[in-house]
Amino acid sequence: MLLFESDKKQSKQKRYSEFQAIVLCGETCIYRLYPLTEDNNVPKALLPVANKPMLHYVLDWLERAGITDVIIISESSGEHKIGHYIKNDYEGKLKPSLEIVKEDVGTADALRTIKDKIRNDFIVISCDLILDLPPHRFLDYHRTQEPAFTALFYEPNKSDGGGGSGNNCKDDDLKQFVGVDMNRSRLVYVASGADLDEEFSLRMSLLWKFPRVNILTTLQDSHLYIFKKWVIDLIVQRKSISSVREHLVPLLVKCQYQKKLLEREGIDNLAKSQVNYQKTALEYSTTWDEEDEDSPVRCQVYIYNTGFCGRGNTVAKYCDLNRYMMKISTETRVSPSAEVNTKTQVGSDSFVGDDTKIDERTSIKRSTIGSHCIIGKNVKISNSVLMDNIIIEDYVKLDGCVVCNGSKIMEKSVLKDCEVGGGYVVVSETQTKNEQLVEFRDLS
Amino acid sequence: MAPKSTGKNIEAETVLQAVVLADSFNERFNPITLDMPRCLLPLCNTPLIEYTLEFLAVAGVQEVYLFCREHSEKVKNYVKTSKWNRSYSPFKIITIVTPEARSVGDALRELDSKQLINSDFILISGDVVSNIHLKQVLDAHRARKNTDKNAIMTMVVKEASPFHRSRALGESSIFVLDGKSQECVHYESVELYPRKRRMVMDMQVFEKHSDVQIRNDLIDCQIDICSVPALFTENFDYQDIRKDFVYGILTSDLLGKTIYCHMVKDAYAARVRSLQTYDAISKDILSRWTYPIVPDSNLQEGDSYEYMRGQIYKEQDVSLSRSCVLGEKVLIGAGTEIAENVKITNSVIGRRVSIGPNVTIDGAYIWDGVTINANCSISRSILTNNVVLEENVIVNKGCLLTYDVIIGPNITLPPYTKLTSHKQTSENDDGDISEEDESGNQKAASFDISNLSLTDNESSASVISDGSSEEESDFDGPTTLEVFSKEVTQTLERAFSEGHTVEIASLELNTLRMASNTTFHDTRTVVIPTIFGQINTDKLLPSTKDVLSRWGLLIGKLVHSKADQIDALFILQECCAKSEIHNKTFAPSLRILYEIDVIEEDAILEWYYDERSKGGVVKHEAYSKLRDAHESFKRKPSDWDILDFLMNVIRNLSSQRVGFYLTSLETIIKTEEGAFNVSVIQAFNASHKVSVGAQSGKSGIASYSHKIENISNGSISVRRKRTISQESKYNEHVTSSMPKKRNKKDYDIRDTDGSMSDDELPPVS
Repeated sequence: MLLFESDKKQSKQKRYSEFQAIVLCGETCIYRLYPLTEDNNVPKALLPVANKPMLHYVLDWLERAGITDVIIISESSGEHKIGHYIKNDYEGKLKPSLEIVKEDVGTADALRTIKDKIRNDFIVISCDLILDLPPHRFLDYHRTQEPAFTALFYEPNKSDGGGGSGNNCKDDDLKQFVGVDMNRSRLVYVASGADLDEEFSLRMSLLWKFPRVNILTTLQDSHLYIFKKWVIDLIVQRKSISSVREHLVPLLVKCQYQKKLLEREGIDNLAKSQVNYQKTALEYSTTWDEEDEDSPVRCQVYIYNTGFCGRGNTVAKYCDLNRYMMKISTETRVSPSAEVNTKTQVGSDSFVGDDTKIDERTSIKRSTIGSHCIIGKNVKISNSVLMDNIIIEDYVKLDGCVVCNGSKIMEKSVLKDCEVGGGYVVVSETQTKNEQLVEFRDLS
Repeated sequence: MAPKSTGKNIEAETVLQAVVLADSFNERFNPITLDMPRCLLPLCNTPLIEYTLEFLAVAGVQEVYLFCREHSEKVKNYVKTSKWNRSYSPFKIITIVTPEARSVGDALRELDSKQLINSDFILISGDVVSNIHLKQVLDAHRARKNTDKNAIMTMVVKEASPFHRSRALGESSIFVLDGKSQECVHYESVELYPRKRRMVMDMQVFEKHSDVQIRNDLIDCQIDICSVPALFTENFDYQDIRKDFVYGILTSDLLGKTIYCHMVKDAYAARVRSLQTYDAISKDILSRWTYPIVPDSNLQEGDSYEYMRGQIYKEQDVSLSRSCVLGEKVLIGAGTEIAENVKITNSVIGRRVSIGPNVTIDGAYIWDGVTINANCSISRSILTNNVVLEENVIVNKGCLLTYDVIIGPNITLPPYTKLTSHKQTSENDDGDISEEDESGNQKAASFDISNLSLTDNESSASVISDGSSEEESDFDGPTTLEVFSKEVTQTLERAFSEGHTVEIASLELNTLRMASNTTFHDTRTVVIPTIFGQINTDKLLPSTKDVLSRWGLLIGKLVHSKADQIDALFILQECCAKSEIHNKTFAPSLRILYEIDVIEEDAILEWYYDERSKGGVVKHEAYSKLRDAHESFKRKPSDWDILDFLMNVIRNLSSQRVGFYLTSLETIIKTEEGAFNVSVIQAFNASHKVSVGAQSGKSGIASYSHKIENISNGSISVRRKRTISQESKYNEHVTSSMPKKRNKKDYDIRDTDGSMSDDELPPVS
């Protein structure tokens, strides 16, 4: 009956979609992007990369993937701004729906709240991911393997350095141990460096099932997954799963070689409930060997190391994303509505937003300047990201800085590798390095 | 530093050397290897060592050092007469006998001390079958040495699946490699028992290597290219080349040496490590995986194998009957005769074998000179040289019949039977040895692939020639405890006869105890009876006193806590309960032990209340208690103390025994009052002449004695359910002195307890 009903609904919809996409716009770890995502600036999803919000790139990627059914999950703090963006500023063809969840819930918890809206296999993507992988390659890979999930791991590109005061993100936390069976591209082990002590150990059952495991420490999780529909049932059943990356993925990975766990959690029934066409087809094959039958849960991994892939989940990485997009973007560099003095040099690798005024003898290199900014004389800006409505007075030098909305930097200040919070006023002749300049906020 | 070009020249001039370990240093092939070294066992009718030597010859080795231990004469003779000793032999072969070497490590240390090796050499086990081109490996090793100066070894490993048939499951290993350079960064051996649950390695590995490959699918061929034999000499505790040496090098921070793996994908390489791999490799050879090392290459002089369709190999001069059926994978040696209606599949038949009519053979390895009479059936078993099967014998899977065993007629061997014509050797002098020469019964390890649990199948019956069969239980060697107790007894006897001091004796005992890893309890169980054995039964009491005052302290060295003392008391009790004579020594010995402070009051009391003490020598307990009272009386003449002690005794007593104590108390009190009546006590202790040098008490006792008498009068009854004959003897004395007190039945000690402890306890002076 249920199946029938849902079919009806499908037919009412304009188009049948194979995958649904869920874009997670939560703030994973506030301190990593501090102070960029404070309330007086923008939520993470809207941080500009080459003068476009990060969300734009995600939606663009999904659009190219041919996915029409997109749900954006945002925390209540970002509801207004993200909603506004989707309604007014978003230029793409998708019509994403916005779902709001409570603050500080895990990624899997968020999925659980919208469980009724998930009808197909679903893509979970984080709003801070920018990649140049053609989407069909990843989707086709999933289609041919039909695993419980396919994850995209990438080898991080070398950082150019600069940007971000550096002290607020430690790489050790993010170092991941990824075990991959290279022959079958199976994900067999995940752990983050923080979980492991002095010893590294693997279950023998893993090594009997997957005798050839490569443990890689160079890979990063892109937080782009394609899950089978039944996984959402699992999330609903198991309330203890609160994060996709920290709970759900390791659990499914373990299910590949721990039979008992599989049965105890009742995952095998869930997994079998969904028809696997490939398997059905294989069973009719004469060369099909019963013993080849694998665990019902299979975790596939796609390792992307031939192009660009990056996440803006720390200030440094956010700056990297900006630099990269500045290089390859085909958009108009300097907005026609911007007033740039002829005696000013704007490098070809820089962006200038709408209605921004730049006075004479100023130079801008490898930087993005947002809209409605006013930049004075003899200013030097390099390697920096300036958001909207910023006033920069004369003789200011900025190198490797991120300046948030509405802030003001008074004359003759010299800042290097600093973040300036939203609405902050940098008094004249400030000279500083590696600092976060944030307005004191009364927490009450 | 010499320039590179000259270095290369020198390298080119050096002789390529190989070290062959012709001994396996284990007993996997017992009982076959009792008569023949493992390297000479026939694999597809060719001695195992032949495959290894052929492999080395192909690799261009110029000098071979052959290490052997057991049956070294046989190996020497074989080498002497083989083609490798001829003038056209590609290499010089030198046999080195190391009878004292117990491990690979020992052999390599020996090698190093002989200073024979002067450059990189090939270390290979004498049971390898392989067609790898070793030259590539050697080149790779040398090239690696140029880039990584610390590289000392290259291990050749072959890719396979984890459950590959030629991968010995009980002895497989996990190699952890650097994904790019193939450097081995961690090694872990996987044994079947105890089952390994986790593989653990150091996190430091990841600091140096970002791509780490964990491989559980490699066959360790035991072909190594080594550079430095000296490392074995430096690390004298290394035994096994993998478990100790490789692991040691990789985990050592100090050595800083590196080991690499060379992955072989297409070629064949495997080791005959166990019967299981013997089976697998034989089949691989017959299936020509090892080409060009196949039977029809005729490795040995005089071989004349021909390859026929269906993987059948036949030597000249084989007589086949018209109706016999040869299935796939069969190899038949010269001089073999096969009668009518014989079916043979997947088997190797040796030379001069005679097979009678209607015999079925499947998956069997039949060595030279075997006679199989009519109607036998053999499946997946090994029959070694000169085995005779009479008519109608059925050999089930996994059997191993060694030299000259004769079976039948009309016998069915259960699966996994191992039979040998050797007597079972036992370390025990008077161990029962089966009279029959023909068979013994041993634990059977299967070589059957379907049964890989190995070791634990025991054959239940042994089958003996002449049709008789006999059950024989497995002989268990003496347990460590038995050996230990024997040694302790000997040590003590030496101490007794040579008059050692207690200190020396206890030192020796401790050494023994630690060496055999036994507990103090075990030591005590041996030591106490041994000491008691020294007591001269003719002069019982003086002797007891002498022995114990001399050696009692030794017991003292073995007790450290109250629990120990109680334990010692139980042993003492048990020891004394053994015979009537020793019965008598219990009380005096307890007393002496008490006097020399080996056993304390608390321990005696606790032992006394323990349920276990109520068996055996209960009758002595009363003695000891009383005597304890006397003792403290003697030692500490203060009346208060005596009373204190006795009150304590009473308070803790169960109602059953209270009677004795109160009487004794009263006796003492009477003594105190000046009556000096020790007669009662003397009566108690008549047998051992304890004279109580009681001293006259003074006033003040009277009041106490009065109270005590009140208590006694009011509430004491003696239940004597457990009357024992001896006990009654002195109970008579007791009752005679206090006849009135024995009538009341229900006495609750607790009530009196309370009242007593509140007001009656005397102040301690």
